[in-house]
Amino acid sequence: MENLSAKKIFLIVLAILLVIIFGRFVSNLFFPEAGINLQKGALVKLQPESSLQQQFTATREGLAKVEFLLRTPGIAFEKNDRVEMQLTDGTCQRPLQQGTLEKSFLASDNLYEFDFEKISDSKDKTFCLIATFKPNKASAKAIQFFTISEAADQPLSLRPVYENQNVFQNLNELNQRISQYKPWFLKHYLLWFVTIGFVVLSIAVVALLILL
Amino acid sequence: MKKIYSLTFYKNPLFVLALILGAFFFKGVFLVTIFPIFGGQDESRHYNTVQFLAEPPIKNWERSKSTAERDKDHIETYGFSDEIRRAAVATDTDALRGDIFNTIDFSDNFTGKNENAITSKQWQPYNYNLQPEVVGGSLYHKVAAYIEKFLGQDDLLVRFYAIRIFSVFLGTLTILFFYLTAKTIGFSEKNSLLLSAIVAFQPKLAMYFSNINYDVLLIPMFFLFTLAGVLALKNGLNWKNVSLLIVSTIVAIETKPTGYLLPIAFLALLSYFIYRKVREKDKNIRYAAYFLCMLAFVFLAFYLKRYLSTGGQPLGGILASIGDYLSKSLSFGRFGLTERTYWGTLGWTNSLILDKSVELLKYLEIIALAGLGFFFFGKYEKSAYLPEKKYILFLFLMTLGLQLEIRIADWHMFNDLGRIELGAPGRYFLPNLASHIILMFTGFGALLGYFKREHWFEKILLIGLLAMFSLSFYLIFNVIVYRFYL
Repeated sequence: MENLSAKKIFLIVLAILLVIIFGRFVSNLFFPEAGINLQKGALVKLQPESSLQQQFTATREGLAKVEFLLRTPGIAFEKNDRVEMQLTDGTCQRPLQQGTLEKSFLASDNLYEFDFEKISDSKDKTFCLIATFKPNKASAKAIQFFTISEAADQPLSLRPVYENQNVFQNLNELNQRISQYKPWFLKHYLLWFVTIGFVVLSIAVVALLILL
Repeated sequence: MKKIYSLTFYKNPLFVLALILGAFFFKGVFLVTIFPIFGGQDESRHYNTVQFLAEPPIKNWERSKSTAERDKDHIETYGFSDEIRRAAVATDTDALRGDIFNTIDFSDNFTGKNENAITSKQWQPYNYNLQPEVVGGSLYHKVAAYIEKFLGQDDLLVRFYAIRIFSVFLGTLTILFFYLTAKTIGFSEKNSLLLSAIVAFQPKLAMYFSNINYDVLLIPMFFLFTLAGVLALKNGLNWKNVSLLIVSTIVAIETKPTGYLLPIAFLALLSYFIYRKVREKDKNIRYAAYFLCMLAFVFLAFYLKRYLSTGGQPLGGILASIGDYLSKSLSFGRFGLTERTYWGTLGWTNSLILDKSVELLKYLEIIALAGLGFFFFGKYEKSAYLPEKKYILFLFLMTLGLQLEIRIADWHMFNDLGRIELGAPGRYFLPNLASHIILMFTGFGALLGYFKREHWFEKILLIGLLAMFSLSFYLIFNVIVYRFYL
């Protein structure tokens, strides 16, 4: 009886771990716009309590984030400094989304992102981003955004990030991206086969060893 | 009766072993796919070595000494074959090697933007440079060159990824060798399977076996040598295990200089058997045997001296250099780097889970080490589920030997260059993963025995399996895929 309950506990732990891992995976399924490499060009300073604006055009539907490059050190979150972000229409007048700039999950000191609720009909629309620096202390130093090149008056180094309509479309797009520059036996359906084979066999091994 | 058998087939250890090997192989092939081309450790250089060895013996194309300076940010300036350099540019390899926040320029379908340029085979897999960037002649590269030649009519993507899958095959063999080792030294059938699954899910091992690199032949040879060693300790020297010892030693030496640990270990093992054979014999026979063993060690030391030449440096200078090296290399930062790169946590994301996992593993290793202390020196009855001391001592010495070898090689380069060049990254210690995992769990098992909690051992193994499984899955889906494709 005791052994049976121990097995059950291990199986429940396995299920919880899988939910955490794949939950995180599904929540990561956003697609930065292909073809935009973020550059460390000239710097634009954003002084405390001041704002800057930047327009950009989305190339596809499902705009869900915008990524920026900030010079290190970026925003010192431990001091409760924050950059308030507003996404508006192309005239920079009508607010659409609001939030704050957050450090990316990627281990880069420079990459920050502004997450918001997905805009389903974003394709070919021009948007305006307004960033306002709200430091904890009035004496805080300015934060600095990178632009796309060393030349003067260049746009900020930013990259729109998109999300598809559902998780299956996201997985299909991920499959497309992984399939690129791969031989025929590791592409598309065969990639699905390898992925499912790996996941199913691995889970089966662990579950079986718990049950034995 | 037959029906009952068919319903319980999943309890057959061979079925479970096949499942573990299958899971490792599929995981390896998935890793092969998600690591971008030339994305492994020095992978472009290793693949260039393979292509160089696969070139026709009569090189009837124009070759010249390159005058262009190599720019480490631009792979096309490297001394690689025309095909590798151009394919690396076509696949945006420089973008991936640069800032972590950039990926390649994806198309919106299953074919890369420049993929047709690669598959049309318009570039030659030949080195036009008279001084190509290659790794010294290794058996792994020679075998891979056969695959390269065999698939010579296919495009670069087919050839490159086929060789990566060959690496995964070698990794799968490695897991098999580990299972046989665990079983040989006395772990129960189920515990051997649990330990094998733990090794199969160790993240760095599978990552390494998804690349083109000579370590993927070196590592299975260390595992094979370990298996042969414990077989010899169990059954005495016979033609089977001596053959395995010789084959693994020769292949390891022919693969990478790290393999030179194996002839030393082989000789030590032989000396042990000779000692056992002659210890009760006549004094003259004993002394003659000891003298022969010492002579063999001296010959081996002279043979290996070329790897440790200090160019006539005085003893005082050598000691000062060793002191300087130790003061610079024995730091928490460097140990931390070795730990991270050994377990393969990558450090590509701001993941508290991964950072804390490595920290936790470090403490668990310390606890296991304390357990090994109890195992060797504690005055209590050894638990029946643990191997005999002779096996654990052998594995411990193998681990210690590799540690010493790598630290000596690291110091040697430090002595030559005046700076820490190798830095002992964790992947250098993977050849002894078999010994390391067995030592860790033996340590835990000894502590459980000391505290009369033997029945927890299987549960500890299951916890270890769940930990390695989740670490491996987390890294694959939430770090590697995220870094390269999202």
